[in-house]
Amino acid sequence: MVVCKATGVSKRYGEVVALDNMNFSLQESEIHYLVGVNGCGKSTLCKIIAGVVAPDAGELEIEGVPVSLMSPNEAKRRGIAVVYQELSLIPQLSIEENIMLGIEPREKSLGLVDRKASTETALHYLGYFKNVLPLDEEYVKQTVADLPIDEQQIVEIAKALARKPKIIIFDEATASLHKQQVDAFFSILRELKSVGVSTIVISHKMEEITEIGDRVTIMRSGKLVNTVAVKDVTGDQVIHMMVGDKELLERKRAHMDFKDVETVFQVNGLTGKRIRDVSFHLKKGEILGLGGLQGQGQTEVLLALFGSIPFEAQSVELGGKPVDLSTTVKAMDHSLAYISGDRKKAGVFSERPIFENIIISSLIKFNRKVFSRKRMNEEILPLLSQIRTTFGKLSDPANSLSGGNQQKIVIGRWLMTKPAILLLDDSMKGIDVGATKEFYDIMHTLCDAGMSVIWHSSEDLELLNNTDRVLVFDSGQIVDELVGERLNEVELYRAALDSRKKHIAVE
Amino acid sequence: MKNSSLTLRKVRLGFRNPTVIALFLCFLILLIGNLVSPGFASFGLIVNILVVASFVGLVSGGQFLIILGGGNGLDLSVGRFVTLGAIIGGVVSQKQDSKLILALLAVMVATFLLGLVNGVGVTHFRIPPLVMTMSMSIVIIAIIRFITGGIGVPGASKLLQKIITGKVLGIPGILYIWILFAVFLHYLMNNTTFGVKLMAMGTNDYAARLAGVKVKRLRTLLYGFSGMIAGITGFLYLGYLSSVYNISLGDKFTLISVIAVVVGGTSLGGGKGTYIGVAIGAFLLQLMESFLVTIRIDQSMRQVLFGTILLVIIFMYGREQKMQN
Repeated sequence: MVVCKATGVSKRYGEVVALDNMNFSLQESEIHYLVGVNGCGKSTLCKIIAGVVAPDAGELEIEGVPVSLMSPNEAKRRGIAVVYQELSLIPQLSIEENIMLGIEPREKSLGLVDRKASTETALHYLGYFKNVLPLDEEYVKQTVADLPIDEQQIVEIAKALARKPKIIIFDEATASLHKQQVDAFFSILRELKSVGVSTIVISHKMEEITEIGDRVTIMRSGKLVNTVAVKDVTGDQVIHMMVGDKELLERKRAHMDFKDVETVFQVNGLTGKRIRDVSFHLKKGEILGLGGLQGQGQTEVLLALFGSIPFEAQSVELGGKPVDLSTTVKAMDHSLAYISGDRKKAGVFSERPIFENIIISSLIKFNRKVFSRKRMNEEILPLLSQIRTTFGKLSDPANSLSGGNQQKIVIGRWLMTKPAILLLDDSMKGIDVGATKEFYDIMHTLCDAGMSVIWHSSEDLELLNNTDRVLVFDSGQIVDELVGERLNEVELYRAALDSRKKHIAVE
Repeated sequence: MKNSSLTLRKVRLGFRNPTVIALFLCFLILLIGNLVSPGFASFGLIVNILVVASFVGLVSGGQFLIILGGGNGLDLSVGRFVTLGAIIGGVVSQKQDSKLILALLAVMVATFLLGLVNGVGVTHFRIPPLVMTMSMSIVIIAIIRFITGGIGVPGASKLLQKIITGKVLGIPGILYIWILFAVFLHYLMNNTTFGVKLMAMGTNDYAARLAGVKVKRLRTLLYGFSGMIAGITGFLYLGYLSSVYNISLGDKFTLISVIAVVVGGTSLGGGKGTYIGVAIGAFLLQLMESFLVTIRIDQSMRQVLFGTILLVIIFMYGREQKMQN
């Protein structure tokens, strides 16, 4: 049975065509992946199904009933729930309060919130993640603002589940989850499927689709490319359909020998919050990966080096000379640049124009007090086209762009500072395959010209395919170093998990 | 057909822009005022209203910077800074034209430093801006009492009066100062690194820090600037009043500067707004005051109305924010 059907749906935002005569249908109890490069209209389609956006043309049927001008509330009543990539939690409330918001169980006598039942229900829906969360009553009383981003995402998922939806849409819900959490997420999808719930999942991760998807719909430029059964296609074919005739994301960085290359950056005994005695060196032109399981101190190392969190170190040397990296501005003066993947919190100035978003850091670094807009535009425009950013006008606010393009603005901001050492913190999160590949190319070109990169990524393959060396982290320490032939997933996981066993043995 | 619908769309969008609404209200009041009392919209009267509005506009400039800078920034000591500026100006210049520059410098240094104290309290000691600047108001009134010792303060020198009220092409000097100030702020916000940093900080504190903005330092400076701008305005105000009639002469500026900033479309959350909007806001408020006086509404009622307007605007603003989200 078809539970949701969109026929000939179109939507424009000003000059931009987000959806163009799009057709889509969702079967009962199927896991339907929706893929396409950033800005192809996936999110818009989901927003139309969720009643958040009204289509300009076309028809929408929910369970065979035509609906027009559906409000978000009506969509909720019809059993549609959405888990957005941009979280909709209330940071000041606790986990439990967020999950139960608006559906609090009442006690019979006075109609007050039944705290006990509420806690139980919240724990029930979080239960899928019992292997990856320290679940107990204390845990759900924590304020959401204090949680790391991946746990917030889990709360968001539990919140949607608690509303017992018939159709549930996950808009890149796994982007910030690590491997074990994704596994737990999959078990949810399977269970939802078994009770007849239909799911639409937006994701950039190919291996997820082949692992769990029933059907996949591929979109490009607001149009339907194809809807196919997952078992009938390979990941490569899907990527082909997504990007059209562009090259595929396969190129592996050639193994280079950095033995005789000068060391540009040397860190000894770096210690701080979640960092324990980290020492490493970085060669000129080298791409150094920081890998391992998520949240093992990789991000903290990058933030410390960028002067954003306090640290102690025996020595930090740049080009053989000791340097002071205790503040961000000092780090910038030494030509370091840090690009976070958490664009909403640490990247874009969403209501400010694209123009200001891009120029800010180079103005600061090159100590320019005043500027001419015209002259800045001459610098910005070639850069933006180099990283293939789609935008209307430079004066448009950054939040008028799709998520991936917003991230490109942040990348552009830092490339403009002409960094010598680029610190990447999952910077490609949420960017489409085509753009990611272009960014790799740019990075490799810059590295050939002498820039060095320290790169943390939650995408293991991304890291292994594009770096020269990977340091494996566990509990804030470096536990292994992968080079040459050892740069593969097996070695990476072996290192990350083996060290874990060792810890257990010692304790 | 397509064109006309596009224009209509633009008009509709325009009416969601607070600055456009404020401008529209200005015309509406002038129109109604002129109907109720012919001559209300005459050139002479508008210039008079603009002169009064200019002082509000100047003080609001500092308030504007602080509010833009985010972090719940607010300066409730600007009114007292105005008084302090007028008093230091009067005391130092002693009605002598030759000491005018010296007096201006004294005002600038004193008010800038006191403003910095506000800033340090807010950024380094994490005192909420509301509490910090209110406390500063009390400190300043004490300083004022200390300076004056309860005795009268010398008034403005001839030159100062001439600069403020003397007319060129039928327009008093203070309006030229205001225009220069507006052009300067506009340039500051649109073509300087300071402006970009300020807006970034107001939009997203953490991201601004990671982009290389020294957030604490910049925010501290803003309070210094706000104090100084209010102090200079007080000095200029002395030229307009020609004497310090009492030590609460600046008090009214505190609240009205906040209203002008908000009416002009600046987001209280920071990171969004233009000084042109603030200037229009300042004009609108004076226009309303004049109109209410014209139709004989007494002072207490006028204050009730101003308070209500502020609430309505903040309410509307909150709604708009929600709609955007």
